[in-house]
Amino acid sequence: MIQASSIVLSEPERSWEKLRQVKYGLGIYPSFKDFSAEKFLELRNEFSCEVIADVPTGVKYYTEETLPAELKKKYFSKLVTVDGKSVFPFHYESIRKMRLVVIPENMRCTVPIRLTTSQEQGAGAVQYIIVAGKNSKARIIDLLEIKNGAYALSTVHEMYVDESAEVEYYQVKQMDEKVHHFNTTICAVDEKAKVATVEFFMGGSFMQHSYKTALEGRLAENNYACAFLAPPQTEYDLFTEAVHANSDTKSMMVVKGLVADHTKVISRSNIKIKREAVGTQSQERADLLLLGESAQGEAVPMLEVENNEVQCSHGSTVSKISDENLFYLQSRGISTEAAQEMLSVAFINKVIDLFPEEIQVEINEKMEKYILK
Amino acid sequence: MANTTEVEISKTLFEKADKDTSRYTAKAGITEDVVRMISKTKNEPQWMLDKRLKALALFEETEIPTWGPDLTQLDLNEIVYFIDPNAKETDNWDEVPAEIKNTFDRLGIPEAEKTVLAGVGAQYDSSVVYHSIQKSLQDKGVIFENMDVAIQRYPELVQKYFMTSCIPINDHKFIMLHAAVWSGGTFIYVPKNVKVDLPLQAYFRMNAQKGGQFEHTLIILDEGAELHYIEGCSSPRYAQSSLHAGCVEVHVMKDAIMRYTSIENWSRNVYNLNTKRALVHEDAKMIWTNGNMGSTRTMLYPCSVLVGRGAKTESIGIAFAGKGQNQDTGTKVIHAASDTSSFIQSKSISKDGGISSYRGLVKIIPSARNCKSRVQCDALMMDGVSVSNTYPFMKIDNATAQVSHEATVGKITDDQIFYLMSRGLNEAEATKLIISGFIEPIVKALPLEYAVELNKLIELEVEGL
Repeated sequence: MIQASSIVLSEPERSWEKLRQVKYGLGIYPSFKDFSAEKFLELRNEFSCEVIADVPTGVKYYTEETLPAELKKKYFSKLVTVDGKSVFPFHYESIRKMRLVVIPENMRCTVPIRLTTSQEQGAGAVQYIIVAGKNSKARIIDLLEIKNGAYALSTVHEMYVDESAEVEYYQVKQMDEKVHHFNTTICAVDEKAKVATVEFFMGGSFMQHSYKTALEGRLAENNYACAFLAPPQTEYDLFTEAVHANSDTKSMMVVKGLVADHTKVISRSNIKIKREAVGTQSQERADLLLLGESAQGEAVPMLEVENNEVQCSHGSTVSKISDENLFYLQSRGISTEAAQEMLSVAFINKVIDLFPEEIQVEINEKMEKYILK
Repeated sequence: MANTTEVEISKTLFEKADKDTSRYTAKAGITEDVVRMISKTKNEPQWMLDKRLKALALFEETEIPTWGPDLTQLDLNEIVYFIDPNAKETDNWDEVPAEIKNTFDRLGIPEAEKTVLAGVGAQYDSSVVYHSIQKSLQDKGVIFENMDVAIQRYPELVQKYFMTSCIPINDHKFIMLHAAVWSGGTFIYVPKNVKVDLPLQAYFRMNAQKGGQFEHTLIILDEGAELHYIEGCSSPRYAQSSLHAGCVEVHVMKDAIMRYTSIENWSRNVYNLNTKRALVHEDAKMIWTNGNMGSTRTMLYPCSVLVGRGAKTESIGIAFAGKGQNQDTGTKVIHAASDTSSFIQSKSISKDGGISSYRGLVKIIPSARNCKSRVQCDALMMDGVSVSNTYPFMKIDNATAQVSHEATVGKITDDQIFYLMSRGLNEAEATKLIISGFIEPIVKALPLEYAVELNKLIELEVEGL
């Protein structure tokens, strides 16, 4: 493990080369087509990405230009354990944008904080840091769009949720066909604090997504729900982890995904319960629905439990659309394609329903476009 | 939980070592000379020697796996790879030397044979010293033989199936070692449509200090045959590390049904790195039942490869990890044909800082359609210092599959104990009863005498004797 600050920033080609060699999950190598070091440098120079923020009054917002040094020192990459073998060398060499949102102590936001990111072209990285002060409450809506001109984007989200704070975090990502995306989200949750994250993503050609929560304080809570649509001929590697480091912590993680034909998805999840984390309740669930003959799904739900005062379980399924359900709809005059579409949408709807209504509408529109394709 | 008065068997009975009377013991460590010597002593055909030497070469260039439990304390050069006991093979119990008979008497083998069991093949160190088969089996054409003898008597059968299609010699580091130095074990062939009504069993014992046990079990069930084979292991307690790297190969032909039951109770210093695999053909069924107790490190993943359409497999297992133990077990199923199904049930108990891990694999290859698989793991933790891990891998490459996995980890709750205590049991009895209930699905699958033994062993372990 090395510190983010110690990464040598002088050899960008090598970091890109490294990224190509990283084996994700249980055997996905990102298939960066027509790759060359020169092209990468060119892509990095071309990087164009816009981050727009809409924050309620009282909430502090900084960009890479306005970020005070002491805040950067306090929060930047403090939660990330940088590993030279992963996406991080690329990420830290390519950071062009940084955003810090600080919700002050005792502030109960009624209006959501909105972050909208859209990448037009090139390859690069963005880092988001969210700090929720003691006893604060906030709802964050984070929308990301990566357009076809773009090649790769790496994002790191760090969330510091202080004592008794409550954060609801909604994230929607839409990637165009040729895009590679790497995402790392890490939350540190303090005593009596709660974090609830709902995510939806779709599209792209390669996606690596990792979401980790460290429940560090007593009675900390984590709720995580994720739905995705992996279109044909893509590769997704997902990893979710809840680390219970203190007593009486709670966690619930749900992943539901649609895997199209000729697509490979690896979904790993881990519950880690440390010795001192007595009275822990933790659950994880991962369900993959395979939509084509040649769809591939791997599910690895793991448990690492070091004390016995816990209630802990996990479950996972990998299956196709049930013939019975399909028959039921067909017998009511619905065509096979329409029935399949209905059942696929229904499969991930439990997660979609957790989003605020206006976002639900947006997601449904996007999905329709994809499914119709 | 200090109530020990009700336990009738004591562990010292199983773990008391006899005086070492072995006729020949190879020097510790593995060299080409040792391998040639083993092959020569057994008067093996050339192809077997070639196989051993090829495996040895592979073994030397392969690294010890690092992904599982810590094996750094295992010194492969300290182990004696071949010991021949001072007794010839016999099928008359009276001829077995008294000292060896003593050990078996303590394990209850003659009684077991007298009552219900069809045949007894008991391994004392590296050669089978006592082997009997009931006449009715011989009449049916069933072969139940020491592996060393089988090579001489049935060379074509052995050459065709011995470490070829099921477990090749280059499978992993310890299989390479096994292939180089294997000795003893059991060979069973059940002809077409023959059903063996009574279970066949072999009781393995490891006796000489630092004695390695590399027995090879090869079972072939011809079309429509049925067999239940039971293997039990118990070992004397010794200070220096011992290694058990056995190998079990099972070929289950069309429509055959095979049930393989093993209770392994190695002493706390043994590294149990066993490999078991079955090739299951069309409409055949393979049932694994495993109990793993004892040993310092266990890495055992019984595997069924479903190669025929409609093949089925079931696996139920229990692992107990006490102080200083790391039980890394699980089941592997490879669905390599359409309409195959598998069911895996795994239970584990960890206590006094023991680590129990379930590491399993369900793999469905792209051309296997309509496969079904269900995996269920339950772990019971007896205290706050033990560890329970679950690593189930599911690789699904065909969209017509239905695969599910469920796991739970927990302790015996105060409610459960309170309920039983309010009905007049004391705390120790209540705990025992709950544990009996927890392992019931596995115990139910065992023949009576094994069920009783397993129950007692678990009770003994839980009480920390």
